[in-house]
Amino acid sequence: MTLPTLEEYRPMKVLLVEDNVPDVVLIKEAFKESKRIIQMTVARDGQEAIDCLKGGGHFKAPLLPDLVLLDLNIPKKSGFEVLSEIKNDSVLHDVPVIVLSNSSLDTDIQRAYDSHANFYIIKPPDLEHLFTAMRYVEKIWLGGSLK
Amino acid sequence: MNKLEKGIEKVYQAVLRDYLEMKREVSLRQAYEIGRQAVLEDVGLLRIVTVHHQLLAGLNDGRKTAEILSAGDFLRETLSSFEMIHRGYKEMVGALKQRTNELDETNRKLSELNETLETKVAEKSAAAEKKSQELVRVNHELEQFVHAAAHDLKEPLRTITSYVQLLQRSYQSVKDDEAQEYVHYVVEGTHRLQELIDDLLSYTRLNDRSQPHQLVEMPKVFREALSSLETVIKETGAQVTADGLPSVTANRAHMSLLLQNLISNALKFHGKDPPKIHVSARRDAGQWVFSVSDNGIGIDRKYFDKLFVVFQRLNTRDEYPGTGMGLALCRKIIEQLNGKIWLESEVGKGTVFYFAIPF
Repeated sequence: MTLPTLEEYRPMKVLLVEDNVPDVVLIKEAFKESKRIIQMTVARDGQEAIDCLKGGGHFKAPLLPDLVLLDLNIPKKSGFEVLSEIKNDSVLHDVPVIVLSNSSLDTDIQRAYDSHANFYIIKPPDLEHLFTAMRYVEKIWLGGSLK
Repeated sequence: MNKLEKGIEKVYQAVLRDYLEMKREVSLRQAYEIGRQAVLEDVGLLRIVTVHHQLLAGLNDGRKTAEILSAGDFLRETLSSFEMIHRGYKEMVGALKQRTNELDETNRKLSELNETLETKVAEKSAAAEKKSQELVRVNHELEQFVHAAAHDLKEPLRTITSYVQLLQRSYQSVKDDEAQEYVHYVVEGTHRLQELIDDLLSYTRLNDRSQPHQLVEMPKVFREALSSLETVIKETGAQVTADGLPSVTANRAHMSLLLQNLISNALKFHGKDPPKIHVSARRDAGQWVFSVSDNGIGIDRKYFDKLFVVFQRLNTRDEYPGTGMGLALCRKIIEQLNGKIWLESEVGKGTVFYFAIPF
């Protein structure tokens, strides 16, 4: 039997960039049952997101998360601007960014992938779909497993 | 007496003298000619006869009087009918001239009227064209408004649905049957609302004419429809077949939606037997006529008109689920192609939906 490494147990750091409070609560709820411990930081707008990732504003030190969940529709800096900044940054560009959006328009989806988003999720219409989506996110990017 | 009259009188005098010298026949003829000329020149027969008698009065030659008198009578008699005809002719010409003037005047008035009419018609046309353009613009605005509204409704609906379900979860263990039932109805309501909004969005998206028409292989579209409806087909044990499907020039997504809707309906409204559905097409005078037939519950003739109306349903939601938009969507798709959609059906004996697409 191989001993599990520490890596498999460390908490996963997730930056959620979302200004809509009900959505923040829902996503936190979705990760409550995750196998891994999720440390979730929430940024309420684009500027806060950049400050958090690069250090600035009221963030003393930059955060290098394991995953960024990015809502496109946020105030101050737009979701696309934040996405660009992350993917053009020498340190941050390897961080997976999953874009969350209400839009199902091909143009928006194409633009997100052209800007090097790792994935595009259309905000699920109900709880079950959201939970399933987050379970997949866990499995693929957060080293979790599908229950 | 004017110059003309003087001239004629002089000539007549000469002729009369001549006549008096016994050159009778010739003189009389000449006198006649003078008289005729006088009439034509508007000097008048009466004047000549008067001149004749004046000259006579100047002559004191008694023996020639009778002959001279009869010459005058000759003139008067032979020329009078000539003068009448001539006068009549002049009157006629006069009357014609007047009529012509009147006609010209009428023509001129008509021409003016015509111009006024043309101007008015042009004004009315311009007004109608403007109105028509405005209507098109307003219609377009309405379409966009409905689309935007339906889109904006999705967001809060998502929140409601998710949180009600969260509540449902949280209170799953609570032993309150009434509360469970209430929550269940709320959740169902939200699902229906979402379905409605999705259908509405599909309907408004049909207005997007930016997608060009291409050659669509209907057999492929049919296979894709079967693939989408795989679960239902399996569950109902349905048999869905097709033959003779051509390629048509249309919007591919619309054709997909059309076939899926019709087959989905056929699958939904089945009776106690498993659904047997057949899709087919034939050529018919410049158009393709497709048919989707089923062995389902059928539709009463009196509801045929209501079928294609948006949100109109014929069954309760417990009997058969659905928003009542599918057929309205189908009709809009077909009408955009200048085609027609109709059906034949009998309660308990199945239904055939037909749609025609011109080449």
